[in-house]
Amino acid sequence: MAQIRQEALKKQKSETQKSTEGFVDIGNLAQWTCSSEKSGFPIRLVRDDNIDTYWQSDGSQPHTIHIKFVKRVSIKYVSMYLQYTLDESYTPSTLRISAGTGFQDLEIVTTVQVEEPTGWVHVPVGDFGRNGLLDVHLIQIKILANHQSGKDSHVRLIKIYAPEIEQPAIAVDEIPYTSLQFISRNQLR
Amino acid sequence: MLELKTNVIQDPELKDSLDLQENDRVEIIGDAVHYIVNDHLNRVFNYTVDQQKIHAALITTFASGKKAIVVILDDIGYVYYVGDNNNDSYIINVPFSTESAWSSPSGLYLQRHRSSDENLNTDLPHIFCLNDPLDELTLIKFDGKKILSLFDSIVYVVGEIVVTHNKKEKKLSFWRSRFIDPESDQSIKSSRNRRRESSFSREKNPDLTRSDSIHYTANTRLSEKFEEQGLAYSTIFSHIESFPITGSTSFDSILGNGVLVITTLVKELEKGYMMLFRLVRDRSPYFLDSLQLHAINLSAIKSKHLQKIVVLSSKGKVSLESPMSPSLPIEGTFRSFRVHGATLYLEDTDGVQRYISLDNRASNSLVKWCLSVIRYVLPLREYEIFYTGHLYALFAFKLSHDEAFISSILACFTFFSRDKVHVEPIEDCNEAYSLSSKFHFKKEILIASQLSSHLDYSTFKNYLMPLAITLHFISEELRLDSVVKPRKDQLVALLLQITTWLKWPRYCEYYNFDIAETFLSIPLSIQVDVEEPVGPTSILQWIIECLRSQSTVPFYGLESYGLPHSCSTMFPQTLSLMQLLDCLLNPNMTLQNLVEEMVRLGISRKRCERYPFGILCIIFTVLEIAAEEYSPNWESEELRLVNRLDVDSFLHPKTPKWVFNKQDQEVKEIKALTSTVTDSTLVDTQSFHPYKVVTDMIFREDRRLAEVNKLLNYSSQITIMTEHFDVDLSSVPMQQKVAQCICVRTLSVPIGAGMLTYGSKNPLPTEKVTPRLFNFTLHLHPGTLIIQPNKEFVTQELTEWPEFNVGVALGLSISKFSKEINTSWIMFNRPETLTAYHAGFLFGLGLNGHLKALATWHSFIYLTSKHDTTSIGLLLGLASSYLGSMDAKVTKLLSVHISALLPVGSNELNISPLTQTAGILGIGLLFHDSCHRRMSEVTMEEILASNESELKNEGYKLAAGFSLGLINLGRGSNLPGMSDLKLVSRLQVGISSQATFQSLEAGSPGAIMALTMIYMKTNDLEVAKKIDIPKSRYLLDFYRPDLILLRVAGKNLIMWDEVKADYEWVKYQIPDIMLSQFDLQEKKVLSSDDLLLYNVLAGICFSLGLRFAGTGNPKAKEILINFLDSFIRLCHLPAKTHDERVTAVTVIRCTQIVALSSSCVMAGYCDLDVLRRLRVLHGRMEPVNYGAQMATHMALGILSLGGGRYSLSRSNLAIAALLISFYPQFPRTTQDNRAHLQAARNLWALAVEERCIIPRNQDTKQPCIVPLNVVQKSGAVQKLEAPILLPPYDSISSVSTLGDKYWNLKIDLDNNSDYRELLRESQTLTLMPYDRTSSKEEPLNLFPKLKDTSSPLWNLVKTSRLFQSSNSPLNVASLQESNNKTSLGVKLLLSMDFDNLTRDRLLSLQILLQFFESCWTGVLLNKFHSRQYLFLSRDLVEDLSLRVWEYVYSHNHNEESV
Repeated sequence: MAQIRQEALKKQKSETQKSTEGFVDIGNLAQWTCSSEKSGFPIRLVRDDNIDTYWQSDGSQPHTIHIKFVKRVSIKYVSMYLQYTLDESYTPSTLRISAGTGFQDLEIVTTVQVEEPTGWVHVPVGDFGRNGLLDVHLIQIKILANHQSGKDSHVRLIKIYAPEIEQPAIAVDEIPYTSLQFISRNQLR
Repeated sequence: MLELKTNVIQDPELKDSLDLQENDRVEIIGDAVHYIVNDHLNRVFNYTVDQQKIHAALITTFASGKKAIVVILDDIGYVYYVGDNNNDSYIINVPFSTESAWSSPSGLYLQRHRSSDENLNTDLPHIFCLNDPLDELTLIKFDGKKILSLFDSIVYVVGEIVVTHNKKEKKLSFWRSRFIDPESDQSIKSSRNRRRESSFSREKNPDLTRSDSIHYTANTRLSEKFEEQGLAYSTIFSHIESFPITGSTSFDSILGNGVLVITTLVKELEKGYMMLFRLVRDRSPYFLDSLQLHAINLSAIKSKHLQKIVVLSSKGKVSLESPMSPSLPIEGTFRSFRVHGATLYLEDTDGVQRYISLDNRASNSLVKWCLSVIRYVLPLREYEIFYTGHLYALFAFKLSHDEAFISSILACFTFFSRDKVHVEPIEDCNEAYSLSSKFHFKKEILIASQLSSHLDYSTFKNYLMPLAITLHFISEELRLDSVVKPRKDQLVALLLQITTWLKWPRYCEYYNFDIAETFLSIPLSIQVDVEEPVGPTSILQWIIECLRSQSTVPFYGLESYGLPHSCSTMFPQTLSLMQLLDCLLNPNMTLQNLVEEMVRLGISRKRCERYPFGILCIIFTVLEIAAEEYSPNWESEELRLVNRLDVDSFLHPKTPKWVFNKQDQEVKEIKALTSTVTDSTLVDTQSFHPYKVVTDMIFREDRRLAEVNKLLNYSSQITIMTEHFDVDLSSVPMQQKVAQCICVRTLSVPIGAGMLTYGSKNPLPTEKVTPRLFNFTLHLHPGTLIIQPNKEFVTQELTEWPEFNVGVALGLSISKFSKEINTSWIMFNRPETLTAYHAGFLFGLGLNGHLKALATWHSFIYLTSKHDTTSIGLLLGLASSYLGSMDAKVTKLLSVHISALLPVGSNELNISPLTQTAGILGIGLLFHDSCHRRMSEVTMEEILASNESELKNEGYKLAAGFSLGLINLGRGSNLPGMSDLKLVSRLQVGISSQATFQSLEAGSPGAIMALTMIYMKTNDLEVAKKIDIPKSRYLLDFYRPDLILLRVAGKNLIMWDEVKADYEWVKYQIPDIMLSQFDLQEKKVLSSDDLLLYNVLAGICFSLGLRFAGTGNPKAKEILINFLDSFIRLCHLPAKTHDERVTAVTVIRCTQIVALSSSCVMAGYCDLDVLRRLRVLHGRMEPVNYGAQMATHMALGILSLGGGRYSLSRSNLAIAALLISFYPQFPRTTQDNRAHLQAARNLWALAVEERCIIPRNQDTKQPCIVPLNVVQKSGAVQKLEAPILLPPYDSISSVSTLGDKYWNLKIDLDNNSDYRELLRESQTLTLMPYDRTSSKEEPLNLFPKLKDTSSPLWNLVKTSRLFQSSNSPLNVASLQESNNKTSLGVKLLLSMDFDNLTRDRLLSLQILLQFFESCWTGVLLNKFHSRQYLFLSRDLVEDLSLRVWEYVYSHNHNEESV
């Protein structure tokens, strides 16, 4: 049984990686909060890389998830793992993704309709930004509706993908050091 | 025999009101004691409760010099002090039954009641003294052989003399009492101590006390008994005289000439006795004489002039007796009499009530004055004779006061005439006519001769000269008052008569000049030879002499005639004039000193006008000069004297400001009046308020204020021009969209409107103020389409906060200085159910400090109703009313609304987060600038609390940050007792880039604000660096862009002095990495890459705006407008993509900040450049949200703060308040309070400073326009036109008014520190209208002008006789037209009265001309510097001198020809 699950997981991973090649999940840079959560199904479960666990809301719609980054980031995808077969009426159907620098200037990026999703839903938010990337400090995922007019929602995994940048030799001007001592040692001689 | 006649009392009701008994007295009436002062019941002491009989009540003076009423009951006594500032009362214990009580010079004597069966041999003392209510009773010692026996009882006390009567020996004894202080008198004390000792060891030295030379009454054993009880001696009685008299009653006394006369009556014998004692200072009085009279009643009558004894003889004759002066019999026979004050009431044998008043209650002040002077000059005995004559003339001959006085004077002279006065009766008509027009003293002389035949004036021989001289000086004094000329003439006539009799030729000649033609002298030869004294002294002549010699020549006053020097005080006018002249001619005294001297002498402006013209002109010239060079130290009196009421009302403001406003209210425009009948929706209710007069005057050149009014109007229908819209407005959804946009815009207006109407109302106690309601009606211009937003759109939630703001605006419109705001007024305005309007109204009142008047229990009623907005409004309102007071009551109220301040483990508060946010902000206001440790700690913990919840959101933490900042506002590192809190380092964690990791970011704005406010203006570089933004892009990415703005602004507020209004400084503030993108003009698209730059720029602008708030600094304005233009341009860039949209939000926010900043700089100035740009911002509809519109309207409001009457202060509190209310995170929707509590946007009211200078006309009290010269401390000179906003008070060096219409007023703020406060408080310059041109060019004579007019009315007036005299009504009327009344009046009188120049008038003119002549040289030249023509023009003076010369010449010529 465990083996099957392992395999399924592997399959899943490969599936994920296929569409996200060249991108890296930067969700760990963010602070995750949600509008409500059922006890035993906290929001951190969307970050545990386990498709069997999930976050469940506990309140009235719309449910929101806030992903707050510590710094400005450029992102390409917001990906969610939804499983209609298991969650049925708990599966979100209408999602609105907003982004901005803070709560004060959240602007709608896109609204997504999903039909009985099984597996990853990749929302290419980068397409709405500049040069295919969206610069954000804060992402808000708002679940406006569920399938079959369900009340609470299940979200199993969420990943935020940013382009994987080959860190070149660190440009001098990018180094935050300002003191003479540090600058003098920031390159290998 | 002459007898005094009495008047019949017609109306018995009135008889008590005829004369007042002037000293106070007490009367026992039943159970009460009445204290009567000046015949009016003053106090009533009631003793019904004590249920004891009142034995005695008296007024006395205790040893301490305090007057008191003493009331003695059975065993208790009450003492009430009746002094001016001492109203204590005491209860004394009376250990015996009191027979009688008498006031003594130092307290009172109490006489014990002796029962008939008392053992006569015990010989206990029965008379005690009480010297102080707190002392015990004391005994009496006797000096000499004679002592009081038990049968002696006090029957009368007067001064030192005590009269006792011995029933057994039928003897009347007189004693002198002396008070000795038992404390100070060593011999007594020691003897007392010895007595104490001796009580234990009596056997050892029983004779010790006997060795004392003083005898005392009781036998040793008994007296010791008293002494053991602690009784001491305090008074010594020494025997004077004893008479064997029995049954004597009704004692009374009069005192005169050092002789005390005590009278007593023995009813059975129908005899009265007078005992005369000579009083000698510090020695025992000695007995002079005793007289016996037949009398059935006796009483003393004391008037100011005479002290007499009224004697009623058995025959019914009443006479006034005194041992020294002649007796005055009264006509008629009488049954009884009584004395009340100086009035004698009589009942004659027919039962008719009559009275006679001895006191000369003359209506005639001249007679009164003359009498008092004569009283001073004559010895008492002579004066009594003189006054007796006066009384005879009054009452026996029924003369008037004047005639009586003249007769009594003449009588002194006629006495020395041998021949009978022969006055022939008036025979023919001609003579009668000629007599009636002339002065003559026929009647008076006739009576005088009768008087002199009755009274013995023989001692007057030596006093004739002083009497005449005294009258002469009185007449001289009268010459100094032009009003009393008829009285003076009468007196001069009397003098002429006297001097003719005395054969004093020089005096006769002198008086002849005055009245020769109108006086008929009656010849009489006087047998006594009185040598003529030195020539008649003329005060006017003396003034001329002084002016000529420019020094005070000696004046032959009364003292030079052998009269006492102190006599001169009897002539106040002469004395003060001499002092003034001395002042004028003293080279060391300035003209200002002269004015001070005048005030000291009590000479008012009115009094000056009564001086003879010459003196008047000199004094007015001085006053005129002093008016221009007033001394800054002068009090009101001096300033009033020189007629500088403007300076006076500035330096000594008396009327509160709101009094002025009432007057303004009366001025209503026609528009306002008609508004009541026309449709109310069409009337702009905002456009008229009490200050409209002033604000209209400030912006009199254009209609900018009307425009602002229109923009900030939320209560009337809005018309929009459809052609300005690209979209098609014909479809209903589109219309609805527009309507909703406009609706949101309207909702954002109230805060701004509140700024415009700030402090414009002074409601009456009965006036209900009602909020103006929103009107969302929209009129599409071409056409008549009127649309409303959907009912579903306008929900209660949508309008709740805007309504709150409307309420605040209404509350703030009530002036800070309103006096009528109290609990009942607030309750009167309270609606049935609590609304957001009322909540805001409470907050608004609180901001202006009016909630201090709210009773505590009313606040509980408000709070227990749990109406959210009401709680917020009330808590914030109370906190701001009690700003910085740490009031315990309000602290409690706030604490129960903040969970953080409740003890750990207490129940969850069921209070909304917003109320808690308001509560924690309220704590900051309440503890403002207190450095309260506990509150600082709590607020800091709240900022840094990491668990973000619904309650502790960003807004709550920000409020906590503000609170922390307010508590320690501007203290910097100087925080007493808080070093262990590590405020800086802990707050720094909250704002570091790591904050997000620790979930602290929500607290970052609060932490930044707290640090900024604590270190505000400290120029602390260390802390500024900590707040400042990092310089590298990598690190910058870690910060939320909007926090960058706060950090930049915060850093600059700390480095307050570094902030400069120039581009160099601005550029220096921008981090190097952004410099390349610095130019906003080049931005073609909105990009989120520029977010940081925009925020940095807005931050710089925000700090500039606050740094130069209210200064109107032109450079700062230029920079800010430059940025504002750039940002407005950026706002118009398309925002389609997400990135652009996100950037657009920031751009709009930054635009608002820059707009607000530029308004801040120009606060109250209503600057047109800023106004134009704000109008553009107001006109936007999409995609602007509620917050942005709110900011625009706040900017508009600040720009026109209070209609241009207010500006912003730059105190720490003001900057903090501005920081809070302009906090650059505006709500996105009307319900949004997430980042910042909307209610706190109204705190700007704490930063308002009233700085508009309003000149007012002194006469009309109406504001007026006057050019001003304002010198700043930097030396810059500004020319302004008041009313206008002044620069900040601290930067002004002096303010002076210019222009010709008003007296120039210069206020030097640098030299007088008080002036700055005065100006800050009043902001009013009261100006005196002054017509500089009139005094110089006005024609010499009004006649030619009037004669030219040809109206028939004028002709009539011209021919009438009235017009010919100088005081004609016409002249008075024409005078009043002129501003400079006195000057013109004097000129007219001077020029018109040449036809009948009297000598005095001529002298007066000579004084004037001499003055002008003297002004060319000497002391007067130095003082006047040819300014002597200020009051009278040079032409006039020259013309006058010519006329005088002509007159004198012709006069002399006539005389020669005659």
